[in-house]
Amino acid sequence: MSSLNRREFLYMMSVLGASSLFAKSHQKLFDVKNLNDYYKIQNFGNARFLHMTDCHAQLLPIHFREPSVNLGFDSNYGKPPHIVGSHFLKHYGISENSRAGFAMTCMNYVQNAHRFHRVGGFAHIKTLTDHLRGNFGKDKTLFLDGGDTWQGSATSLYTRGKDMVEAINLLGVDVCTGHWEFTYKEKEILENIKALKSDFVAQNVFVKDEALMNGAEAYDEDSGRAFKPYVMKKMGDHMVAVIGQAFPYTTIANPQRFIPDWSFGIKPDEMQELVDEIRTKEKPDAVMVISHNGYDVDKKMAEVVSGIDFILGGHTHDAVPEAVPVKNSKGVTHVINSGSNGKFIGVLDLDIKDKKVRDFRFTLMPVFSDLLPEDPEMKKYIEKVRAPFIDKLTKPLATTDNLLYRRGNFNGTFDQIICDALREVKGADISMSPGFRWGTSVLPGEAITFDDLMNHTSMTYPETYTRDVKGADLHTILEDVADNLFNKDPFLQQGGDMVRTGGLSYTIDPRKDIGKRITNLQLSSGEKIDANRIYKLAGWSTVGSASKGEPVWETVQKYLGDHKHIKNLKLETPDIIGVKNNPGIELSLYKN
Amino acid sequence: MGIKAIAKVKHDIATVKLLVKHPMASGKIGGGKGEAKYINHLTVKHGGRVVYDMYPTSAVSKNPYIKFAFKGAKKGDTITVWWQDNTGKSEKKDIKLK
Amino acid sequence: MKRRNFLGLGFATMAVTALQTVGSASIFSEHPKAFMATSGDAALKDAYGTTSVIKDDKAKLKLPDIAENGGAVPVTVSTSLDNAKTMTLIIDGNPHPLAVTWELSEGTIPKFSTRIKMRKTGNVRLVVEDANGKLHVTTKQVKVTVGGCGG
Repeated sequence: MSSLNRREFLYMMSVLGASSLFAKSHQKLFDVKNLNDYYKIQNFGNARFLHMTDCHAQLLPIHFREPSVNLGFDSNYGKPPHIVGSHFLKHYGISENSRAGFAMTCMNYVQNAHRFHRVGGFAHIKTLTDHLRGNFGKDKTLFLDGGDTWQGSATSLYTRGKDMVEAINLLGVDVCTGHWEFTYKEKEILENIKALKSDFVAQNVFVKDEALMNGAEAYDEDSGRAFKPYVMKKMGDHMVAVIGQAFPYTTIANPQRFIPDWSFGIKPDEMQELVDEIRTKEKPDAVMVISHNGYDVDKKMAEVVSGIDFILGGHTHDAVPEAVPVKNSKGVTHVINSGSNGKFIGVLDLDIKDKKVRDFRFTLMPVFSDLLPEDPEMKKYIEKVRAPFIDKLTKPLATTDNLLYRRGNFNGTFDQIICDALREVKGADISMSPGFRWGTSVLPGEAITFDDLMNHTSMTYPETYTRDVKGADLHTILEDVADNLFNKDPFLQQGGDMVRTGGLSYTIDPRKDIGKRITNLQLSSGEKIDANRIYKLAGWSTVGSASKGEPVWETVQKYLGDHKHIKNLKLETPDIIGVKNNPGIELSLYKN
Repeated sequence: MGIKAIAKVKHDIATVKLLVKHPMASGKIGGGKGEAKYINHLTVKHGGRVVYDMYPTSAVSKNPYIKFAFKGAKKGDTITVWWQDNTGKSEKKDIKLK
Repeated sequence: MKRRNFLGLGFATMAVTALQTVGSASIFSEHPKAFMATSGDAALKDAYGTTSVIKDDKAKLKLPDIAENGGAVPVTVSTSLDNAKTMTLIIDGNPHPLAVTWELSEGTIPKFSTRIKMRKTGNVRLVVEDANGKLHVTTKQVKVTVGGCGG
């Protein structure tokens, strides 16, 4: 493990260790005297959890710019993960040009990306996790994967998630749950689960009673649960329960047509019953939840359900470097979220004694591909997976002067290309593209390859459409999606970002109620949207039924081929009301 | 038409799940098109007594799913499901408790 | 209101006959007023003769926060009251809000599940009529989205 020099390393560690907010982190305990000890954290307690989530099938190291806007309001105002950019650096006492600052924020992103290189990559992750496991004791370590693992790359789509099933088998994941996993067909999902070496757990997915009566099968006929809700694992001398919580709004945010028999939901009552049952029957030393709820939903679940020690969460792709305590009726549950795209491994060490978690250490550990050598076996496997498609995948489609990214509450630059492409290629007045949180970054000066394009569009319902939409309906769509993002009740938040728009600007006041947030809709010409006029709208990724147009990557590939070079990209972001001092937005990165 | 049922007895409680094939069309009264056609009365009898008595409307989903439980049942007993819709059509089915 | 009268509303004799003889003529050949009411409160008034209700935890309503499918929203109604007479489900956002009424019989456990249609985001109310004719109500909002973009 080399290219980080000692000086840099000491600097990184001192910067991270300086902050009191990292009180429960291993980093204060780093042994920095020995150069071979990069990533060797001082072991703590007697049970270790490795947590990866939302890798979105990124087998290779990637660039992923963290958001410059992730707004929180009311009780979540200024609370993680609604602290971004310079606010984040200040909050956690991290320097902008440190490795931690690079990994966890959008600040000085391009320059830092050139200095610190790509992050993640399964061959690098494998080296790190094998090390962390071996170092602590294999029999005392569990590797949890929070889902969104089978989707997000070209090869995951081509192999229907199978490349990732094999990849996490090789990685040595022990327990997992899902979200985009459910965008394959039911039969494919069940086949893939069968091929997993890990336990797939989900307490909140049920086979619909109607389906059961028509002969559908459930994991448990009595409860109707479609999957094993939890699993007991031996960790050294202790027994630990790991409960699964799949993405509760899968059948709302993603198509139902692939999984018509299954019903989802947050199911907090069922979760409470299950926790109580496990506590009584299994007498576990700790109860852990591997969750795909999203950060704010996890926090509310930690409040309303008691008896859970830790929620290891994902979905909202938040890199939060601390385990946040949430009080509930019977004690405290800590909430963790370990970022996305293979950028981080969450390392959680517990000190368990007398059936209680006495203390813990948590570190959100960035996976720097330049520091960690590749695991040869994983490297070979990734090459094998990509080989049949390699020419197509590495084909440059265009070059860019702009940093391309997606993540953030509103339009990212890669979304802008998709929106521009939809409008131009399909001759539409307005375009819309979903506010997904996956999608990797491309640095200025780099080529946009087919791989990059697929990292932003790869999915099982990529079909495009054009349709005539009334001005009033445009408003309704924006209001509906804004409410999924900004509803005051976290249980009503679905965890995606705002729908991206092309040729359509608007003003948004996120703190208002549904129907009142969006005003001042206008075309890019400045012309006001007329509620009664018909506009031609282009888009993709329809949840209800399949659209008839070509997959969106074909639309964007054509656009990129026509333009060859992306420059002076004009980012269409709405005017946002009342966020001047909100630490959930890095205003220095927004010119207007 | 058709009634599917799963009816199981545990101790002396029978849990009954029914799936009734019916369009439950709201027609114009529900803001839709076509004629209204929906079940407006459904009962289940055990021996001589009514153990479930429901007055649905077209606000109940297509092919209604119904679940309920009642006390005082034995394995092997018969229950009778009967429904009638707003057009006067009806169906009756005997189901053995398992 | 007397048990088994309210649905008949003027067809009391027929109603009793209908319930006693499974398969006899429907009391719904003439739509009772309550089922045709166009507001939740009007339905309540037509059905029970009052809109005066007690808001407590005696009526229990289980519904999702967000509907997966507005055409089939799973609902479970129940009550902890002994000898309750009727339970009525009202969907305020529907053109005709009165959705279902159950009459309770001895031996039946007052906990029923079914699926309902919801046209738009709105409140669902469960009204439980207790042994003394008092109405207990609980309300829950269900969101019906036009399509999400999660991920």
